[in-house]
Amino acid sequence: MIETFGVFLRDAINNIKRNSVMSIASVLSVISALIIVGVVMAIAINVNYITDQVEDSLELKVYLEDNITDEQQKAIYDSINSMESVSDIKYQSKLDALNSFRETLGEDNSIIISGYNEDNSPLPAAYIVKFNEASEIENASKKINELDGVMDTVYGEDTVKALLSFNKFIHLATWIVLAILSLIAVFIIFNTVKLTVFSRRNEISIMKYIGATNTFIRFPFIIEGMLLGVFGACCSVLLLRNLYYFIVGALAGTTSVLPLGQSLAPADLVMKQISVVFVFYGIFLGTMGSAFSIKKFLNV
Amino acid sequence: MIDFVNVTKIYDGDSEFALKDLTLSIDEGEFVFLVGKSGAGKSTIIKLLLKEILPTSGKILVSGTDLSQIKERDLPYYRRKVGVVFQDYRLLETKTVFENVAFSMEAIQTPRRTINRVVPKVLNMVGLRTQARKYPSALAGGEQQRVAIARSIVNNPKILICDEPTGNLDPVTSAGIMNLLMDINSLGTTIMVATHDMTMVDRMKKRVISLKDGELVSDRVGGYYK
Ligand SMILES: Nc1ncnc2c1ncn2[C@@H]1O[C@H](COP(=O)(O)OP(=O)(O)O)[C@@H](O)[C@H]1O
Ligand SMILES: [Mg+2]
Repeated sequence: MIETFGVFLRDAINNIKRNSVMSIASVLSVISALIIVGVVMAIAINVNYITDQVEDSLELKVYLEDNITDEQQKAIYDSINSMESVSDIKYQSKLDALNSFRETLGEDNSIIISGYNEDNSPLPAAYIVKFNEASEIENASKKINELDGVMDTVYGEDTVKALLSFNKFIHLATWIVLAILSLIAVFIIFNTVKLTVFSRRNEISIMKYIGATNTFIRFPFIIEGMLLGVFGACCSVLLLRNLYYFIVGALAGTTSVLPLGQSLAPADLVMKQISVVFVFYGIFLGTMGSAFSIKKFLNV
Repeated sequence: MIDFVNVTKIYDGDSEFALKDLTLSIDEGEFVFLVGKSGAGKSTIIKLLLKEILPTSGKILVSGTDLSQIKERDLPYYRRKVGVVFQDYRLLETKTVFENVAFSMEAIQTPRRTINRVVPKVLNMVGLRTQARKYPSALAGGEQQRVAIARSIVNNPKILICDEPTGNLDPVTSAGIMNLLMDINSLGTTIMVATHDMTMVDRMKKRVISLKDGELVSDRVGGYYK
């Protein structure tokens, strides 16, 4: 069995060398398909990464009534704490709120509120709540608002809604582009491998006369397709890596291309995800292309 | 060994008979010629024997097995018992003589050690011992046909079928190929040779099955004309 596999592998490598023009064409088509897919993936990964950052910075402010009882406050805290999507709760006392407001106003302007202290602060105490999922904020806000002792709940409603719909759109777009490109890539490879198979129809026909089984005849082609796919994937990973570093490097000088000061996803993260996907995707494309092609020529 | 029983073949989309109600029987170890003008139906008989095509009606038996009963997945194992040689040799140009013959054994997953032992023997038998490392393009036509014969007998088929094996060769070279086929036949392999080379057939004094427009016109031992 091992010997048989050795023969397959040797055949596949020999065939790649012999049909070097065809092989280069196959690898190039794998590369071009994967590069486009890679660019789309990099964009999707970045959108995800940036959305995560925006999501992380979203918070819900739960303002508490001044005359709240300790029991009420505890009930509110427990209720928030029991929500699954909550990642962090901070308590902001009336004094904290005042200080924070002072800071925001700056030294020159804080004179306006210089008469206020902890006891007569007009600013309410609050819980500042952070969420894992932006989509959960709206519901949570409504629920908490109904609790006794809550004066009001406030969050960046517009930001959250815009973010959610943008995210949805990007996800959908990514899948559509990926699906279309995959079809095109498989089609290109199918045709290229078809030519490779066609250039070897003699060999296939002889093997059939000799009494080789279909599995045996298919195998070298499948391995050949897989090798071409993996090779194409490796080339694309290298090309994309350089391209991505170049882009990240080019953007590093400019202060902020992105609206809210977020950064691009780190190259390591992007390349790790892309490399894994590519190797499997390359194998998939090569194998599919070969398998479909050889099928056409087995009925000698 | 080989039995055709009322076999008729009409190709798809064709109205003419390629073979018409053919019945014939060939015994184990026989050497038979299949003769007739171009279009007489010789290649059709060979394709039917290889189960490349199916008869329109009638039955074909090889070693008692009805070919129509052989399942698609068992066909390769049947083909291993039937060697075939064509007029145009059909060698792999990218492989050496040795590799072309070895290819036949690799295709049925013979261990490398056996291949290295058997191939030189067979090359010796067909008279190509010294040409093992050459590529087909460096060989004369007769030598190429010897490689094709070596390839088709290396797995020890019970039957060897040759479709116009000397069609591209001069008379002297053809005679050499025929002698080689006789040698192979003397070792027990049943041999069927389709040809329209009358002079050669006459000289060989073997059983001759003669076809015309898909019908059997004569079947006897000896010459072709008489
Ligand atoms: N694939 C095919 N499709 C249709 N007709 C065919 C096909 N092959 C052969 N024929 C016809 O069948 C008849 C017998 O052909 P063939 O067996 O090749 O003759 P031979 O080998 O004796 O020259 C001829 O009339 C030929 O035209
Ligand atoms: Mg013919």
